[in-house]
Amino acid sequence: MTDLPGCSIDDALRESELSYRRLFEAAQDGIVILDVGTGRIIDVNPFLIKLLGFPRDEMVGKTIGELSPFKDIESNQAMLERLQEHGYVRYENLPLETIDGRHTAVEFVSNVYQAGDKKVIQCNIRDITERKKAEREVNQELERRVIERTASLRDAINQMEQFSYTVSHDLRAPLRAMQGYSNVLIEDFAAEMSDEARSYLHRIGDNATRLEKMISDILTFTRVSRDSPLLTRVSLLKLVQDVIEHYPGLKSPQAEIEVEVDARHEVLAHESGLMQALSNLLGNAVKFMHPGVIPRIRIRSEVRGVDIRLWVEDNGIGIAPEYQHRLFGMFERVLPDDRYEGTGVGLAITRKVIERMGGQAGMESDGQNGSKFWIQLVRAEIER
Amino acid sequence: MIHFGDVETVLLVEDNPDDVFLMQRAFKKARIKAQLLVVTDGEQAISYLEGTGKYGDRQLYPLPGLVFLDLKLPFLHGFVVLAWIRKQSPLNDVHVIILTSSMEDQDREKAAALGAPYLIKPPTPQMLIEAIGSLGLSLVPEGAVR
Repeated sequence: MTDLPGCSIDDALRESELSYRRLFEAAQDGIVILDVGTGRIIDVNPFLIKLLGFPRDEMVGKTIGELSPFKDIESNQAMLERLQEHGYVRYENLPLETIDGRHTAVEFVSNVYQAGDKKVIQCNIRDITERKKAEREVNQELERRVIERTASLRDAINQMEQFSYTVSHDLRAPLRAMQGYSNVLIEDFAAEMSDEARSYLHRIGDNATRLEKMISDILTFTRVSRDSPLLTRVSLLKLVQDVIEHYPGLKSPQAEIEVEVDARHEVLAHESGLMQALSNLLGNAVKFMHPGVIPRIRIRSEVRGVDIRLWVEDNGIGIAPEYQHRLFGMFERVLPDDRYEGTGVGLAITRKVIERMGGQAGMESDGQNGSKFWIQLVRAEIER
Repeated sequence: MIHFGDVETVLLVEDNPDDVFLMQRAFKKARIKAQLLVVTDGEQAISYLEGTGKYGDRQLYPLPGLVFLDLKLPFLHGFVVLAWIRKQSPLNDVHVIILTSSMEDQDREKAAALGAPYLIKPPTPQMLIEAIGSLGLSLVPEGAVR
């Protein structure tokens, strides 16, 4: 090794020690140097002296635990053992009482490192009182906002409940009167009217019925959206059989139904909600047919991960992919009104019901070869 | 005409004149042989059943065997009236049927808890006969031996 003039190894060491010393003296963290064998304090920096309020000579020679602010820290021996094992010890939030009785919190990190030919322990002690205070303020602010938002959410729910109660009672009253009187005319005065007059009367009645159905669908939708359903174990096969049993349009010869549901497939669901969703899907499956075609419906179940998916596949008119995204919206009707009856809420209700049980609903179709609708729910645990 | 039980007077508590008309019509079409009297709010319903004020005369205003009760009524809500009826021992034999436009489950459940059948408007003759039958009142066609 060549000694460059004015740049000997000694000089370099001195230089390095000097800059370390400057850092040590000027640091805005408390720094303590401990003897690696005894854990006794060799040196403390000015910041720590200021932080704790002890003079330097009252600290040198003691262990950390012997300084009253650190009396609750683990035993000297335990800390030394942990340092030996891991190379460092860290306390994220150490409460500390200074000599003049101030309560602060510090972050305390000890590292073992090599200094020349011997090992020393350096402890960095950072005052985190301000940080804790800021954190506490942020938390309080967050908590305040949560309380505020919860209250306004509760208000919104109350308003929605009042709204649907009003719809239920008040909006239906005039409608019912219109329906009622047009029925009276049809039942009691039909003979006195021309065919044209009778047909207009029927149209009034039909429209009133349609509005009534829409109102009741909206109410169902809002009810479904706000209730949290109680989930129980439901056998899909049994449920499918029940729905078919109670739905006259699903029986031969009006429709051919093929059930390929595994009897072991049980899901966690709200039974009447799931029944409603499935009735909607089956009702649609037989409704959206080309004229004169007998509906052929296939219902099958399959395992998908932890879920069971129930498919309802039909030979109906199908829905072209570009319209499919509108299907599950409120009052969305992809087809012209005069061809197929309905309010356009059925699938919105279906999806909402299933989502409230933690499941999903969707469909596949190429727009030509029928539709495949599905609902998917978490499988009930298999009983041993 | 159909009698049911010993009921000769039926009280309808309903504030909407259209609903009163449609109920009277359904009642007539069901050929129920009983007189249908009408009061139009919750307070009137209670004074009628108590027989106070102008309802003191039981010749003119006989105690009904059956009450059709709307829910959203002026002054006192239908459920307040129903709860009051349930607490009056002289009215133990008075049957109550809720007749409402509400399809809310909370209303249905409350009615069930207070032991009253629940009809959604508008009533049809068939609905009236079935609801009355569900009260356990025997339906007897007129002319049959009672």
